[in-house]
Amino acid sequence: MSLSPGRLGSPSLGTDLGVSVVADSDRAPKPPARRPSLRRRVIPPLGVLALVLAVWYAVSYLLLSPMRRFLLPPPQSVVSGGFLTWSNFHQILTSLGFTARTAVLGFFLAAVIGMALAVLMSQAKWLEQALYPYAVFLQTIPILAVVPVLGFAFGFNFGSRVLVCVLIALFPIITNTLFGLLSVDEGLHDLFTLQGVSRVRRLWALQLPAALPNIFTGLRISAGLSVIGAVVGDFFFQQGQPGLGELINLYRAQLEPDPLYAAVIMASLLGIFAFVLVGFVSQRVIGSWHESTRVADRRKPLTPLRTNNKEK
Amino acid sequence: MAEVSLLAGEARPREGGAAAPEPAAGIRFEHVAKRFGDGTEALQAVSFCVSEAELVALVGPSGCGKSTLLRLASGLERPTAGRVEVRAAPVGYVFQDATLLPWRTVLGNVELLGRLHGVPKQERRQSALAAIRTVGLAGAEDKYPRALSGGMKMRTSLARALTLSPKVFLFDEPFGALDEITRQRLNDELLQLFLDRRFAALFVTHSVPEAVFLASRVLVMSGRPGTVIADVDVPFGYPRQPELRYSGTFAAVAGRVGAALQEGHS
Repeated sequence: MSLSPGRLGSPSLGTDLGVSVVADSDRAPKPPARRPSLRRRVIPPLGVLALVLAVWYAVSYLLLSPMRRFLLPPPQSVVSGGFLTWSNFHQILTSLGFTARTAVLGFFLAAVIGMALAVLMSQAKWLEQALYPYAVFLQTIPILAVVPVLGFAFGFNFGSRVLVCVLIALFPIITNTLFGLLSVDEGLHDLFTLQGVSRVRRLWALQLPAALPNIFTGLRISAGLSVIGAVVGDFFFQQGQPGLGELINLYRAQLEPDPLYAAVIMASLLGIFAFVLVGFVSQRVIGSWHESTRVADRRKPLTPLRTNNKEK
Repeated sequence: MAEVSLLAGEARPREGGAAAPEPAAGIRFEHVAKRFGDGTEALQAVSFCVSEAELVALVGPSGCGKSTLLRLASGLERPTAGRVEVRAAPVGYVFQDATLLPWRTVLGNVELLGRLHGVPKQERRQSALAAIRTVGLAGAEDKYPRALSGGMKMRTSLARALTLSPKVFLFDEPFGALDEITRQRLNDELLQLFLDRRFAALFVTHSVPEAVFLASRVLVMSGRPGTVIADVDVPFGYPRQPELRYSGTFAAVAGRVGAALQEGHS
């Protein structure tokens, strides 16, 4: 074949003026900007943390009288009473384990059910019309009002707690997956149509991979929500092993603010961990090709150099 | 009655060496009309023919139904009246956008059609690598589309269409989004490819010089509802040198096409 391989990569600079311009105009886009340095990523959130601690101290020591300081004990008291008192911290960690187990199972079920429902809805308009209102309904029911009732139907133990997680975490997965499946580029659909592919093949080879970024968005939101679901479930269903929610309830009743705040902080950390973990997996799975993972700060004005690039 | 026939059957990859005698490749439109569901008359009384090993360009004002015409030729749409005949499947279709899968590398994208048709891995990999070499992308096999320039994306798209060795090619303004110099270079390379493979091709474009440089005939369409109002012969043989673009005869032919376009517009 005579299409001079390599011509693209090695333009013959200097043969004449025109050619070197050619090489520039057909050049690949610049590699993504380097990630900002560790220092620049770590210092701003640390600054905010310092600010929060300052406010915390101010409320504790300046706003609250010593009599009412138990409402918000100062940080060092929470650390010593909650984290450094082993009997308390051990109890918190054990409960954290149970809550995490509930959240993980609930998240997993929500992911499977949510994606399955979204795939069903993507296949036929009438299915979407039939199911979608109930997905919205699921999202809008006041979950705290319904949770106590669930206990009567499904018992007051592990199963009901998982169910609460699923109910809370399901909606973002359904909507994001469905949006991804339905917003595949028309041109790509045409390409597949021309090859006469089956519905299943189109779903598997085109729609699902194209929807992955949206699916991960949904999963990331739901990961945090299922931790909330697990803690809420603990509040209402207290049979079986005690979770964090139940422990928080207990510390509140016993007027033990130090371990109470420690437990609350641990519950938040669990949610953050879930969020970060899904984000990490997402980066591993779609980071190599998806645009949004490229670290380019679009809030800065584009430099003239980049706007010269006429190609899309 | 509307009719569409793909005389050689459904699009299918080549099978081994035992090839049946292939029918002459070509595209034929007879009194084709297309009206969309919303009542828009896109095309009306379109008749033309592209014979084997002929490259015909199609120019016309925006919205005159050029893309619709290609969609009819490929079987993506059916005519409301008339007859569309495309001999010899599979048909290679190069879209306006490169339509690459962002999660597949250049190699993965070029292999896609073979994969969808169930071509054995070894075989489809080999034809993909050959096609990548043909379009001058050797060395870029493992790049993802987001790392490619517009020109490289179109080359990948072209390579993908080549893997099925189609006898009929449909081009829908493939180089419209590229800058002039990249476009001219891809035009030169496309002609080379045409001379090597001798497919029948219908090339839709906005650009009169591009049409004249590539084609042996230029069809000119009127505004909506689109119909063919002129069929301008291009008096140059192949191969064509890039310098041809600056010759007097070239300008004269382009002038004739331009005049026909003006006429159809008013």
